[in-house]
Amino acid sequence: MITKPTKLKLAALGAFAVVYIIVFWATRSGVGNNWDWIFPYFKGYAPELFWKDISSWSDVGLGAAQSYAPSVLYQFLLLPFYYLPLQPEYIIFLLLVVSFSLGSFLVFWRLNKRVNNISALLIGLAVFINPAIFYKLLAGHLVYIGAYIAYVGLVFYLLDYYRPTVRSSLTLGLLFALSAVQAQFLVFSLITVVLFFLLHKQLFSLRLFALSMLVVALIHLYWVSNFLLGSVSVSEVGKLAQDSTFSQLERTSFFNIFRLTFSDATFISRFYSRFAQFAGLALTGLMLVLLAKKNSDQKQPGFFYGQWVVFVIIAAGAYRDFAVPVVSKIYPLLREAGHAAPLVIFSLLLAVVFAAKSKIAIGASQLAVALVLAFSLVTFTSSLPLVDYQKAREELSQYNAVSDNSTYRVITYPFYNQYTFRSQPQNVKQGTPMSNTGWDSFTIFLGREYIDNSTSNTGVQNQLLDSYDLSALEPYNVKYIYDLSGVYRSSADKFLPLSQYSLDKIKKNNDISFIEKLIERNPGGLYKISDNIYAVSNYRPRIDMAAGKFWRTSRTEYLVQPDKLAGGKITLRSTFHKGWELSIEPRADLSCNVVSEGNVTECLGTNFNKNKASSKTVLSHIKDKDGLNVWLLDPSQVGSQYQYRISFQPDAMHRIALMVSLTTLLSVATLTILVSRKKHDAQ
Amino acid sequence: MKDLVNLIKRELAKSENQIVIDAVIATIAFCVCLYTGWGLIRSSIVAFLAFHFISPIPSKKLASWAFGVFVVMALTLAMGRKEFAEIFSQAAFAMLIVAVLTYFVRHDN
Repeated sequence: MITKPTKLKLAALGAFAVVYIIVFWATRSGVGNNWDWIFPYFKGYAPELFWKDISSWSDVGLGAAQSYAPSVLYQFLLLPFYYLPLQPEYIIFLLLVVSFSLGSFLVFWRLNKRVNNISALLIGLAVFINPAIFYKLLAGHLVYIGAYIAYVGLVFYLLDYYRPTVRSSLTLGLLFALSAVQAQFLVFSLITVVLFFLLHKQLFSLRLFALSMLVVALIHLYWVSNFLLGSVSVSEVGKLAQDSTFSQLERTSFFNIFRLTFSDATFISRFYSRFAQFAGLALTGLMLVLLAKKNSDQKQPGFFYGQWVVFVIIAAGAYRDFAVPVVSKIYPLLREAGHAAPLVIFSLLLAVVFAAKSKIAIGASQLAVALVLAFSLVTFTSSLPLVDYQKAREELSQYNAVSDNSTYRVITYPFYNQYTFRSQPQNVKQGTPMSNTGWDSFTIFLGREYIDNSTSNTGVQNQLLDSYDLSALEPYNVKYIYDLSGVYRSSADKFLPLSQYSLDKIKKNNDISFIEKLIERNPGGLYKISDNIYAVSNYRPRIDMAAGKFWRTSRTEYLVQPDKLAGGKITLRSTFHKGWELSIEPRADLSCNVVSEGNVTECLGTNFNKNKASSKTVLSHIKDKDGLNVWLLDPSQVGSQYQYRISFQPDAMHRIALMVSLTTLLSVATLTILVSRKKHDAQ
Repeated sequence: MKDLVNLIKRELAKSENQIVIDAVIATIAFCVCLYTGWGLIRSSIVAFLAFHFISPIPSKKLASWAFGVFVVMALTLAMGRKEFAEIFSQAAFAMLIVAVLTYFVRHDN
C-alpha cells in the first residue's frame, strides 16, 4: 500500500523528471564543444572518461605523472551510464535529466516537511535551475554538478540526521568525499561543516570529526598519494593553476553577486537581461529583509546566512586581501570565483525559505524565487551550447582509418584550442563565442596518444608554424599528422592576446593548405595514408636506441632488448620524470608480433615477467635537451645476455592507493545503505 | 584620556538613543580602517569588534541598515551609476558581515 506522503514524493519526482526532459530536450541531438566540455562524439568511447585518468602516468601531450584527478571518482560512479549502448548525445541527455531530477527531488524531499509544498517544489527547481548552474552547463563543468548534488546531500544530512556517533561520522565523511570530486569542494564542504558545528557545538566531537576527515582522505587517496609520494608537487600544480588565471576569473563586485550575475568570466550577464538581474537583486534584498525581521527560530536560516556571507566573500575574490600563511597556498585552487556561485544561490534560497514564516513573507519569497526560476528556464531552454553530434560524426569518421597498433603520438592541425566546427552554427555575444568553441573532443577520445594542443602548450606547434620544418616533430614520437582544418577552425585568437598569438600565426593556423605547404617544404617528409591523414617519414620510436626490439607491456612499463646501443644510450620519448626507472635483467625469449618495423622494432607479446629480477639493478637517468628520459649504460651493462625493463615506479603505490580508495568507498557506502535501510524498516 | 572617553560615552548615552552612538562608533571604525587601506574584510572585522565590545546593537538592526544601503545600491545600479553601486554594495555587505557575525557570536535577535 502506497502511503500519501510516498505518493506525493513519487509525484514530485515524476514532475521534476518531466520538467527536466522539457528543459534539456534540445540537448538530445548534442550539447558541448564549448569551453571545458569534453565528451566523445562516437559511441562506445564514453568509458574512456574514466579509464584515461586511472593510471599513475597520463599520456596527454608528452606524458606526465597523474596529479590532480579527484574527478576520477565521479567518472567511476557514472560508468554504468557510460556503458549504456547509446549514442553519446543520448547518454548526456539522460545524465542531465536523471542527475537534475534526483538533485531537485533531494531538496524537495528534505524541505516538504518544513515548508509548504509549493515552496519546496520551487526551491527544489531553483537550486538547480539558476544563473550559476546555467554557467556551469555553458562551461561543461559536469563534474561540478555531481559534486554540487553530493554537497546538497551533505548539507541536509547535517541538518536532519547528523548525530555524534561513529556511523554518522562515516556517512558525513562519505558525502564530503563525494562532494570533493570537484576539488574546490574540499574547501567549500569544510566551510559548511565548520559553520554547522559552530552553531551546533553540542554535536561536535574532535575524534569523530577526525574520523570523517580520515574517510575523505582514504577515498581520495588514489590521487592524494601522487602528492604524498612526491610524484607531483603541490607548488607546481598551484603554479600551473595560477598561470592559467586572469583577473575577471578571480574577482567581481558585490553587486554582481547580489544580482546573481557573478564574475564577468561566467558570462551570465550576457544571457540574463536587466529584468532577470533585478529579479536576482530582489531575491537578495528579500533575504536581507527577512534577516532584519527574523523570529525566534534562528538556527537554520542563521546557518545559511553564515554560509551565504562566506561564499559571497569567495565568489567576490575578497579573501585575496589576506595573504594568510599556509592558507594562501589554496588560493590558486579557488581561482575561478564562479565555482562559489552555485553555493551563494543555494545558501540564499535556503536562507529565504527557512526565514520566511509569515504569509506575506512566504508569498514574497515564492514570487521572488519563481521570477528567478522563470528567467532561468527561458535561458536554459534557449541558450545551452548545442552541437550536432551526428553531423560531427559524419565529418570525423574519416579519421578513424588508421589501424596502426604501435606506440606513437599524433598531432592534429589546426593547433591550439578552442575549436569551432566550420559547418555548425555559433552563438556570438559581444564578439565572444558562446557556443561551438571548445576542446577537441575528437582527438581526446581517438584512442591514440596525441600532442597536447591546448594554448599553454605552444612549443612544437609554434616551431611548425614559424618554420614549416618537420624535424621539429622528430623528438616527440609523432608518427601521424591529422589534418582537421576542413572540419575545425581554431578560435584561439578569441582568447589569446596578440602578444602570444600574432596575426601571422592566426592566419597560418587556420590555413586549409597548411599541410600542402609542409609537404612542399619537406620533400619526402610526409606521405599520405588517407584523405587528411599523413605519416611522418622521420618518425622516431617511443623507445629509441641504435637497433633492437621493445615491447610496451602496459601504460607504465616497457621491455627493451637491444641488438646494438650507440654509446650505450636508451631514450624513452616521454616527459622526463625521476620516477621512470631502468632495471637490468637476464634476457628472456619473448614472442614478437611485429607492429612497427625499422632499426627499432616494436612487438606485441606475452609472458613479460618471465625473467623479471626480484632484486633489481636500477640505473639513474638524465633529462636530454628535449626534456626526455635518457639512460647512458656503461659497457659492462650492455650485452646480448641482458634485457632492460623501463617502468614508472610510482605506479605500484598508485595501485595500492586505488585499492584503498575503492575499498573505503564501497565499505562505507554499503554500511550507510544498510544502516539507513535498517532504520527505515524499524520505522 | 580614558576618563574623558568614558565621560563622553556616558554623556552620549544620556541621549537615550544608543543606536546613534552605535552607528557613530561603527561607522568611524569602519571608515578609519578602510581609509588606512585595510581593505573591506579587515575593516568589517574591526567594525564587528567595535560592535561586539562597545555597542549592544542587535544583529536585526544591523541587517535593516544593510537593507537600507542595499536599496540605495539597487537604485544607483538602476540609474546606471555602477561606480556608486560598487561602493554601496561594499557597504551593505560589510554591514551584513557584521550582522551575521554578531548573530553568530550572540545568537540574538
